Amino acid sequence: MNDSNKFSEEEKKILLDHDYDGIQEFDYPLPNWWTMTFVLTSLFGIPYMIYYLFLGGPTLRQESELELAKIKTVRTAYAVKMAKFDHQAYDKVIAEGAASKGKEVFIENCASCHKDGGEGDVGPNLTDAYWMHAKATPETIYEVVLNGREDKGMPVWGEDLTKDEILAVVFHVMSLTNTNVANGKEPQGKKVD
Amino acid sequence: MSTDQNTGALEEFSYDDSSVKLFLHATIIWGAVALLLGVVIALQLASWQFNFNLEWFTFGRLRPLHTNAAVFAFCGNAMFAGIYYSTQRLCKARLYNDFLSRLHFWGWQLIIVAAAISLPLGYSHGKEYAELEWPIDIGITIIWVVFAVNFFGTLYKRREKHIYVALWFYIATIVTVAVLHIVNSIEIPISLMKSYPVWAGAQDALIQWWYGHNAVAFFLTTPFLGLMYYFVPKAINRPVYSYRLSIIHFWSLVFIYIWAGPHHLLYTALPDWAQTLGMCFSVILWAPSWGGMINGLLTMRGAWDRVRSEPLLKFLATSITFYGMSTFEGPLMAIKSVNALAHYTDWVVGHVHSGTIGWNVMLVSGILYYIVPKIWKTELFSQKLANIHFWSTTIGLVLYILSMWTAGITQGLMWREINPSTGMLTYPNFVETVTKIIPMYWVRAFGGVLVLGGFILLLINLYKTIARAPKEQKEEILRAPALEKNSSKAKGHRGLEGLPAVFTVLTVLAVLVGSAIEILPSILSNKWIEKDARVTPYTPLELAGRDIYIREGCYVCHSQMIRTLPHEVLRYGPSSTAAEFVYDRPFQWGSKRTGPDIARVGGKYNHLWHYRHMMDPRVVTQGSIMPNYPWLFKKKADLGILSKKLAVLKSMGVPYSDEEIEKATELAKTQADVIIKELASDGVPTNMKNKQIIALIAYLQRLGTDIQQEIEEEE
Repeated sequence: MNDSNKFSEEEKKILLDHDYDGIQEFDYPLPNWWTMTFVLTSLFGIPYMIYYLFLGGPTLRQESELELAKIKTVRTAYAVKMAKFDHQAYDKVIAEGAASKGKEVFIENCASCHKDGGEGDVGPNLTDAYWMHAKATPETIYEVVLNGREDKGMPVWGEDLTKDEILAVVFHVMSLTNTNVANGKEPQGKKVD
Repeated sequence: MSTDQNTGALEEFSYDDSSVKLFLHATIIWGAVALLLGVVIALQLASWQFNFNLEWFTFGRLRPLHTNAAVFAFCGNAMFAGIYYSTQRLCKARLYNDFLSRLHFWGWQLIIVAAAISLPLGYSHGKEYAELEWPIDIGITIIWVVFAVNFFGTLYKRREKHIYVALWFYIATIVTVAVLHIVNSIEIPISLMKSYPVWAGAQDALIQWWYGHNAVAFFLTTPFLGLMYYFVPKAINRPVYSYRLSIIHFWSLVFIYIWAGPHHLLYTALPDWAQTLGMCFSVILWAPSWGGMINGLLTMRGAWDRVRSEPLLKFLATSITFYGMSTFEGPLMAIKSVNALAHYTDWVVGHVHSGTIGWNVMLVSGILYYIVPKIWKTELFSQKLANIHFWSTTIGLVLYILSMWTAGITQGLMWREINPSTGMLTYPNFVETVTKIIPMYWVRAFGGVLVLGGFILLLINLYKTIARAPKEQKEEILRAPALEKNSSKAKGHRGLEGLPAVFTVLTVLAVLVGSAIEILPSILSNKWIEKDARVTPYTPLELAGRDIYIREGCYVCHSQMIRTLPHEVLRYGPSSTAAEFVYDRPFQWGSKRTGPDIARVGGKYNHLWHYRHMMDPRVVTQGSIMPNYPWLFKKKADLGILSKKLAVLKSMGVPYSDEEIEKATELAKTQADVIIKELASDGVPTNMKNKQIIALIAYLQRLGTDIQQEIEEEE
């Protein structure tokens, strides 16, 4: 380690007289790009802090609320469009093969509570003649799917599913009523004939 | 060379290398264990069946075991071995006290064994990297003091006037870890293995991440930078690149690092100003971190040909490169808008492992290949095996990082995508964003297997090396002149290097400034967060459920913190506020969403849904990767201890009435009966009395409901 011949002339000039267990130290100047990195990150960080801490820069919550307000406008407009049961669209969805699509949507989203065949588990049995919220018509089922019944654990599917998906699943639920599959959950709600 | 002060008579001494050897054995063995646990939990994420329906083997309990084993068992022992080996040589002095060295070793192993038993049993604080319960916390404090006395005693006995840069980093490590551990672990015991922290909610979150981030800084970074400063120049046989860079990057690093903790809490309910400090100091930290990388890599300048051929040098060079990469990635991810995407995703997991595997495992492997042959006075058994180990680790790590980048960014983008024409989430089903990235979990597990396999090669290689060492391992007698007191005429920083006590005091001050400015307001000011009168303490049954939630480590996969980001509000409900968590001891905001946020899960599903879900999550959520929790349906909740729990919480300011405390168990049973009755009406067997699942359901149904009710009424 102390073999001074292995160092260039330049290195010898900056080799310090430090020796720790044979470890020596050069004293190269700080690389310019490193110093600049330090300066630039500080030039970014310090004014940033001053702006947000002392000069009234908006909080993250305020920024989020502004953005949310814009999204809510879009959602409200869409909700108005969705609220009314669209008979034309329903007929169109049926014509385009709602039977298979509806089942697909049902298995993916509804079966976790109503089971694959609609026999009910966490949620009520959909194959009997008893109804808690809807009345065995496409219009009333549509409303329950769209708005959910959150107090009973039924999610607001209007926030997750498209209009066509909801219409297709309504068609599927209509097809389940009064099929009275085996092992169904005991009836809940009122009987609708 | 620096002999101007060493003019005393020659003294004889020897190094205590037998203690170093003990720590080396522990490093190798715990390293293999920690990596094996990593592979196990990686497989559990790829396929839930690897949880085996076993209580003590589920991800929520093994993940803390993996992190504790990696950080405290593997890196801890490696740090102690390296520090004890190098400090003796840098000080030309034997370790201060042989008994303390052994006490340190056996005490630390006892702590590790206690962790290895208690964590799978579910004894946990529920605070990341600080999960160990209070008796073990006290053990850690005692052993750390033993370490400190032994280290500073050695400095005191030194025969070298000035302390080398490696020692500066060791000093910073010892004092800062002590401060972090003690402040973050202040807790009131309930029983032998259960306690509540004195800090609550947002304050607990701030202190935890001040601790957690600086555990990375002062347990995984500064000691290993110190080791780098010793072992790289020794192994490469070249002088350190720049002394003045050492000074500047050391002081800037210790001063700035301590401020960066709140970058773990961006967009959360932590007060905005603390978040801003955390982000900005993280960005400014980039250059100080890279100062260490430059000094490491440029020390190797002029010897690159040897780096290409010697596996040990490959490990050192690669570890420093990964250190540079992850200390660039860190500041990047600390920028608010980047963090909005990265936080809670696997990107963070990838980042952590590019640090821990890339920097710590690689560096320690290099050091082991250097130190083991040297200390056992023999040659390495096989360079070829070491070379295979190097490539296996490197390829494994690259697979790890790439898969986690892909998984994290994919999931982060799916979470935030909003349909512009409807204003609705494109991927409203959380599980969709999980099943999408499962292939990446397999890639990560495979990468982990390569890293583990490489380390097993190291284990074989080093034990073969030790096996062929000469049986007689006598301590070599060395001679050096005694140190003359007050002999240095050096000024400035060089003078300071001759005064370790002053140096230590200045280091403590450097870390206390940022700590005090960020933390003290939360302790001193009652206006630190806005209060909300609607928020009330947990009922006794909910509290029992919460402690089950903590025991099962639910927080390692579920957050309870809806960030101030529009897509989170759409998915989970109104952004969380600090006021909602004032009774949360410990806070359970989480840091990773392997499952969805559950800050407002209360009332979202009925009791039966939770009942089914905990029994088998896939019954209600197809594609879920959550483990089953069958034991919650068999074991009874400990409701008898609730009075004591409530009393302890009251002593910390939670407004329980004396009547509530006295009748806690009764109140819990009454509330449980209501839940059981509703479940029974849905067809669940009625023998659920006092079962743990009932308490857990009570807790889950409470989450986020305090302010939800009011908001609905306002509308």
